[in-house]
Amino acid sequence: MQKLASALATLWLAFSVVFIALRVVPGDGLTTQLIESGADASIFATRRAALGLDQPLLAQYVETLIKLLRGDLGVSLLDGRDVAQIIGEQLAPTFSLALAAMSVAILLGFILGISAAQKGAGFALISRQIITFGLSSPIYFTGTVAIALFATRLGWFPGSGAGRFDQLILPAGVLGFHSAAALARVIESQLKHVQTTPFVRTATSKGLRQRRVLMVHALRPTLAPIITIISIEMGYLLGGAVITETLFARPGLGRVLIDAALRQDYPIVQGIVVWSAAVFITITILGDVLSACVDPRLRGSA
Amino acid sequence: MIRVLCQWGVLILILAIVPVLAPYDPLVVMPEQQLQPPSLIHFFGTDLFGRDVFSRFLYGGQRTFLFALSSTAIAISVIMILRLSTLPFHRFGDGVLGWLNRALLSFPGLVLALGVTSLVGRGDLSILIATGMAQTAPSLALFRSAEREARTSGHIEAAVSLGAGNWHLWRWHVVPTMAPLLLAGIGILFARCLLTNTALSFLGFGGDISAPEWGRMLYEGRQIMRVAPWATLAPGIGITLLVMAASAQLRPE
Repeated sequence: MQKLASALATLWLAFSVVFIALRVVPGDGLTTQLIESGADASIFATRRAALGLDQPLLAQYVETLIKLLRGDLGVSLLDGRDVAQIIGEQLAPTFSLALAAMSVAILLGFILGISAAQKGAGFALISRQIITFGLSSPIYFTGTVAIALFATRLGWFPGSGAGRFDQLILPAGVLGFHSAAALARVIESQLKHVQTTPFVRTATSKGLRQRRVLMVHALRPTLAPIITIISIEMGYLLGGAVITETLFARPGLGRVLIDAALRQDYPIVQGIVVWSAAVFITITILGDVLSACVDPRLRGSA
Repeated sequence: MIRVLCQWGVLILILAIVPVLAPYDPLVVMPEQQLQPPSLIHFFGTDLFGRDVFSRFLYGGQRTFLFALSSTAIAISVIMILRLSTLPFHRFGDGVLGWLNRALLSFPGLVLALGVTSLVGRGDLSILIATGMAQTAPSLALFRSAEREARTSGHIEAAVSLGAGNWHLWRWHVVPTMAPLLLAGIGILFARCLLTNTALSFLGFGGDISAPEWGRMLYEGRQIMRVAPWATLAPGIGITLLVMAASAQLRPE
């Protein structure tokens, strides 16, 4: 309950930051649009009044906040479409991409993380290199290479579009790979830390096989921080995988955000930014609850 | 610490003598030399306009590095202003800062950066500011946790009991204690700024499109990936290596 209140407060603050930032700085898409069209001052004033931009700042703030609570995110400055509706339309492709990428990330992240935590060279070393590469290389580079390799050269999967399942494989794979690297780094360091604790040593000296020690004894206490990382990554992905959607020519929230940012259409930018913050906060709370379920030590604090 | 400074020094030196190393002018268009594969004449081949990719790679590296450095400086300045302005208010100030930080952290980095660019418009300066602002929140979180940890050590407690004031305590006891952690943090901040900067310029928010910059070069290379993969590989590998170097050299072994 206390967590929920603090989450709502955080969301309110996030909204206020966005609102203030967007209103304080002069210049908006409407001004640009009207100046380019050569309209005279009276048309300009009418449009501003229609959008409520001539009101005092505080009145605008209260009005926007009340509208937000009713789920009304305003309309686009340029074509007058409802922002909530725009976001609603883009949810499905973004959601399926995020979910698919997260599945890849969890699977690959555990494999890489566990093998990187092993002692010695060989597999562990290779896994560590892959993790470092995934953390350091920009997604628009790996994505471009993946398209050239798997879509253009080999022709295994389509490199663009959305709707069919095979169109999801490549973007989800690339996006999932980078999240997997972040996840694997945490799993690796957690496992290395746990392997020095007495109860793992006990399990080993009892004569249990290495694999059983790892899977049953060592992995369980590390699950809570791993779930936290997964929820953070998931929360960020649902806000729109901005670059991936552009790269693979997929529709989605990220694409809409980029277009709106390029045209300075701030109701859309504001709507998507607030939306992604809300999603992030919700998912991380779910992550906290789930962590408490798997780790009894955290139950008191949740 | 000295090793770290030396590494940065060598890197900066290499970037400073770039004009001597580059065999061609990165801006000169040679239509007859279009899309040449890598050879002894053009080490990394040429792009769609016949520009030498190796020269563009070197000049672009210089520009990319300077951009990331500027964004890092912006992020650090914002953190310092925020921290110094909350310093006189003790616990209350820290609470406000923590709250603000949590709110800012709930935006995905690139979404926040795009929000900032929608305010200031396109252009190189806009990219620098957007990146700096977007990377402030995660670094502030790091800074705060480093400070919290520093404040638990014994000599800070001793200084407090001797009657040290807020400012004196922070400047002469807290900051020196967390200096090594901060230094590591700057490397990671730099790496993140580099990634965000190049991402924004890849997405087309940059100003001067003919100037060599790794993100922009990747964008251009992408269009001709099928016929000239070298134009993509050079800046891509460049970014990866620079990020790796900046974030790895400071990880305590």
